[in-house]
Amino acid sequence: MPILEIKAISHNFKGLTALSQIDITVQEGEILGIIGPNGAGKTTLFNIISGFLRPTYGKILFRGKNIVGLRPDVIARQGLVRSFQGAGLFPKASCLENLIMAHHLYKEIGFWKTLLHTKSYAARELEVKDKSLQILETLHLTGVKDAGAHDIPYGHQKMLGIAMALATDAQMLLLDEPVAGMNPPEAQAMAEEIRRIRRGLGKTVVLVEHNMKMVMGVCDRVVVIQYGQKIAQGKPEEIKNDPRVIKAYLGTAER
Amino acid sequence: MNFTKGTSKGIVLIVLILVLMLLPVIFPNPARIGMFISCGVASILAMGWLMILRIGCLSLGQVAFLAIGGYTSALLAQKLGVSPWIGLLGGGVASGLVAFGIGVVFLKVRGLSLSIITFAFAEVVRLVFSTLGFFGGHGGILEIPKFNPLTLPGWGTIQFDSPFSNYYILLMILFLCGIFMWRMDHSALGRTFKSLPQNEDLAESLGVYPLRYKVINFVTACFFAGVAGAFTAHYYGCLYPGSYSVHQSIIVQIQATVGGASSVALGGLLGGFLMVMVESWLLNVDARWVFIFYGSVIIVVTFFLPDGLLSLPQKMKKVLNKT
Repeated sequence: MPILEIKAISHNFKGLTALSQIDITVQEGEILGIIGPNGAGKTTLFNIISGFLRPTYGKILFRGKNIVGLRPDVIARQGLVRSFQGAGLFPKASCLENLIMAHHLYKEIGFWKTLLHTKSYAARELEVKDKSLQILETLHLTGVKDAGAHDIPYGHQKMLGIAMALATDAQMLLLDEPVAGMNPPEAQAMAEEIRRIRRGLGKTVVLVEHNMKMVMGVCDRVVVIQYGQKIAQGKPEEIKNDPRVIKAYLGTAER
Repeated sequence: MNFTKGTSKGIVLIVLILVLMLLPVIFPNPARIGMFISCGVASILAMGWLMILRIGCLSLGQVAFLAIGGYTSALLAQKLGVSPWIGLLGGGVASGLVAFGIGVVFLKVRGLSLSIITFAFAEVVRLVFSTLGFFGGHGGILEIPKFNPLTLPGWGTIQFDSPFSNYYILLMILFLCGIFMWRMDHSALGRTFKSLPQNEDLAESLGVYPLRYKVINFVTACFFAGVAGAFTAHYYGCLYPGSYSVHQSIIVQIQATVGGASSVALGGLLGGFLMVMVESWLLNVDARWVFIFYGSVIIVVTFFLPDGLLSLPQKMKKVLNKT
């Protein structure tokens, strides 16, 4: 059953076509990779899906309901959460505070209950803190929980960013370049984490990435975008040998 | 460890409250008490300013909300005969409503542009009050009713005709404001406020609707500014539009910055009291020094102590540990 259906999404930036007629269907529980040369429109597509940009044309159905035109926070509430390029953290807060913030959606509590510090509020705060500490432990970050989020190694920051998206309890994650700037062992750990997110937690993952080795190793299916158009889709092996994809990345020999 | 830390904090808090309550008893000179009242009003404004800073907005218009509260309560009392006690609430609600209106429209704007908007808004408010005859024009409003006596069963009647008794009205407002701000700052709400200027897009993607939190923040801060404004109107008995100039808003900013942003309630209290006390001392020496003082203080504090006086103990510790 498709969890996300992108139908004929098109976007123009002041007359410049960034995306035209993109159709992508994501099945529940799959890991889909979106690749393409720089400037192909991958991040624009992410911004449109997550509600930060309104497409010029097209529809996006998340679990059968149209989400085009909804605010980013409303889309997040429905269970579709994105991560950002770079670390995407609250830089002045500690690692623990970052994770606690990520639980914002988790049983949100009213204004007066918060101010009056009622029992239900205090209990929820404790619960969120415990949950956050647990997540830090699984990431092996307990030792740096009070360190500033930007003071830990870059690979850990990115891991923390993904953990925050996970903490929202979203059904579907959009990961924008999850291993960019990581060294091979870090990228390997991230790939394993993404597999675990799918297998252990049953989530659907869509990721944009330039690291081909990682994309080909992790994704069930890959979609290739070039100049705002979808030029190919299929299993990683098919994509690797697709002449259109090779042409897009390497160009053709002059005759 | 945690226990002793908690109790020492509690002791500091109790001492602070006692000192504030006993100030007019220790210094019974009415002029002194008048100064403490100014300190309290400044503290409320500074707390509001620091609260708004949490969402990344440098407000240059806090004094406008003081004015809205003051004019509302004064006119309610003069034209409709509403008791000043209810006027306190009325002034706060009026300020809060105006803050809600402009907040919903303008808090979507980020950074410096937002500061300019608050600045322009404050000027518009001042010009409206000083131009329209309904608000008394340039001359302002005179003969605003004072706080009427309260009769408490078993206690007799309390008169509010002296700075001494008015100080306790203000102290009530100050405590309420302080507790409210403290609670807000040290809760999930405060956490969300602080996250917004750090990475608003990330907050949104985690399910936070930023405008909602910014409006809650802004309205709360302006509500208390409005209550303080209503209080000053009835305490002084007159309003004068010239006293709500942008210059005053900048002074609020300097007082708050000197106090320190690490705690909204404590920073506002410290900045408000200290700065007004020094100011009134300088006024006695030579009034010209006041402006030089404010100007140089903001330079010195921004450069050497950007997190305000509240960060001084930590800084001292660091320096002592090094040597």
